[in-house]
Amino acid sequence: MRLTLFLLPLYVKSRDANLLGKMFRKLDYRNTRFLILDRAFSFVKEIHKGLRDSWLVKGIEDLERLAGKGGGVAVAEIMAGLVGADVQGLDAIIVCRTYLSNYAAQRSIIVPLMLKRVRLETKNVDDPLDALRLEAFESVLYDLTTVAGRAIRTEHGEPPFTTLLGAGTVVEVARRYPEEALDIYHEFLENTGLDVEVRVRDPETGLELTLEELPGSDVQVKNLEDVNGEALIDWINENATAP
Amino acid sequence: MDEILEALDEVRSRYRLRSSQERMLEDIERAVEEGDRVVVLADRPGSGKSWLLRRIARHYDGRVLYTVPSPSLAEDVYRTFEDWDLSVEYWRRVEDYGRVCKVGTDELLSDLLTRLDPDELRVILKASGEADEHPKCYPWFYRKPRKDKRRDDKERDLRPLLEIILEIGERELGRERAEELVEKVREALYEDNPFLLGFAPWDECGECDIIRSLKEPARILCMSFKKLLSAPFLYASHRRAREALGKEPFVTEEDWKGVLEGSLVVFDDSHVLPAALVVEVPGYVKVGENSLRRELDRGEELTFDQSLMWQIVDWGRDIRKVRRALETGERFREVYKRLVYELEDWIEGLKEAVKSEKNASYLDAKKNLSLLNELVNRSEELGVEEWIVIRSPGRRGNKTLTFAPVVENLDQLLGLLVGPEYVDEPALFIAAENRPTLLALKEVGRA
Repeated sequence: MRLTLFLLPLYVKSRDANLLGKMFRKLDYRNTRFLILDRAFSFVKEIHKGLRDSWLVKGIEDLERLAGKGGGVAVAEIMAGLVGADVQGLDAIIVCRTYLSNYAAQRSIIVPLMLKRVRLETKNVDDPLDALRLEAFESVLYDLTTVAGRAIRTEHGEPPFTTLLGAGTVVEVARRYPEEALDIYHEFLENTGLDVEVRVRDPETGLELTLEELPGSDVQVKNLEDVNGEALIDWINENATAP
Repeated sequence: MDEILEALDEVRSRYRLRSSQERMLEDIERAVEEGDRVVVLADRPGSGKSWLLRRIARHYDGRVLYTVPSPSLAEDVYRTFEDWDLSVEYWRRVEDYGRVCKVGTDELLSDLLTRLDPDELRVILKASGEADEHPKCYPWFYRKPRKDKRRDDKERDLRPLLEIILEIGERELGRERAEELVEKVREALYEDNPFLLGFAPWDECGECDIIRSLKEPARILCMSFKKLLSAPFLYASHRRAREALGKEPFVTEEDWKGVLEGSLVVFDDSHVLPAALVVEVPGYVKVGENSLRRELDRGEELTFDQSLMWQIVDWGRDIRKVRRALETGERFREVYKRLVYELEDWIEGLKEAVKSEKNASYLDAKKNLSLLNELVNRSEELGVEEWIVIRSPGRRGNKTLTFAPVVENLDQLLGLLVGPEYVDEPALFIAAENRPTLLALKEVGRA
């Protein structure tokens, strides 16, 4: 069963939470179960406020409750989706920001540093900051797959629609270091043994690219506030609610 | 090791396994036969790793420490084992044990009680009704009344003693006298309180359920990674406190050794295990004029600012300082040196401050710093000589310091987590992870 991870070349800043909350009101959740994730609890709370009738997920039971419903939107810190939540039947997972996501923000950045030799030095680039950005790309692959994988607990289960909105940095690093990014991707496939496809999608033009096609393309990284939110939500609705 | 192999056979014969799980069993078998003490299962999410680990734990004829990333997940696993009618315990944070304490509140205040007016005494007695069974062995109990009670706290069963007194006092004595009473009690709480010496120091602690489970634990213990890390410090802290009082400890580090001996240690979701070694400390707590943050920095900026770290994701920003630090590693080594040479003095300073300032946030800071200090000691023994500090805004804009050791291989990680003096006790470690982390560390160690 193929899992597609959609990466959107957007910068999502902390001040965008309210905007996102309002955008997500247009999600068609009559028959679809959406899980919205972000790395920071304050951001999650802000989205929840903007969204009106969403649920704020605090624990595994809340996720299970969402999965048991006909449709709905829940908002959670990414760790709720990453760790321990074996919840079947989520239709769509929208991640706002993960970057190096491992629990709290300061931990996100400290973990790859503490594992320097296995996380950064193996990246084969001279600049340690670029190694850190490539590490972010790699974490995104694993994190999104884990999140999606938690939702499929049978061999033949359908994977949920999975997208990372704030993928600006990781798209950019994959474009600047195409060989390294592809190496990381292939090693990831080998390690997980899963059929995972990565597609970079320009929310404005609708252009979709694989990692191989990315280097020569003219995909622009934009700020979230500068893109047409309606088109973005239409696209999510179309894909998340497809039979 | 035979017990492990028997458990694997049992699992194989009892359940219908998927092919991926068959392969995992074979991996474990091979590792055991080759004398490997750490097995890492790194199959894809959804391959049934956790399912398999729980069955192995079920049929293993010996102690199992089943560890997971968070306390709520530990409780989840605990329930699974409980449903199977196994001898199992959930080791949680002291404050999460609820009403277990045998130490009366009056014992903390004995001298003060003789000096109070009858109506004040009545308030204390009423407050005792609520507080008597709350654990007295954690800083939270001693906190000042909170002005802005957050929702999370309301859901909690336990309240700080002073908050209970203030609430009852306001009703019975009026606001002003209630506040005076709270002040008197706060002062008294820090007079000769044996808890300042360490964990579970009272005679009544011998009958405590927490101490009992440290002494004679169930066969399967479910806990978070962090709890596994800090468990031996509980034993040590208790022993030191009792010895300082000239009394026999109820448990010692030897008991912890006994718990680990021949055990099977499971790390479920071990790709997040390194985060268990991250210690957060409030960096703004002052001893005299100085804060720990300033003490560490001393003009050299050894601590990274979190916002500076996040700027790494913004291309084109000028972050030469961070780059240089990552390239040379000098800063990391300097942090380690300062920690080795100065942390113990700092903790001594905090102990004094607890007594002079009578403030629970010092108790809290001392607790976290002691944990950090133990980790620094372990890291010294293991030859880990680089540490990272990141400062980030904590609650109400107060800077929090986040510390982590730079780990080079799996031996170091396990040594830091379990302790170099204990790491040889378990019979086998089995880890399951969704992203090669322990596996990658293991390979680096081999290379």
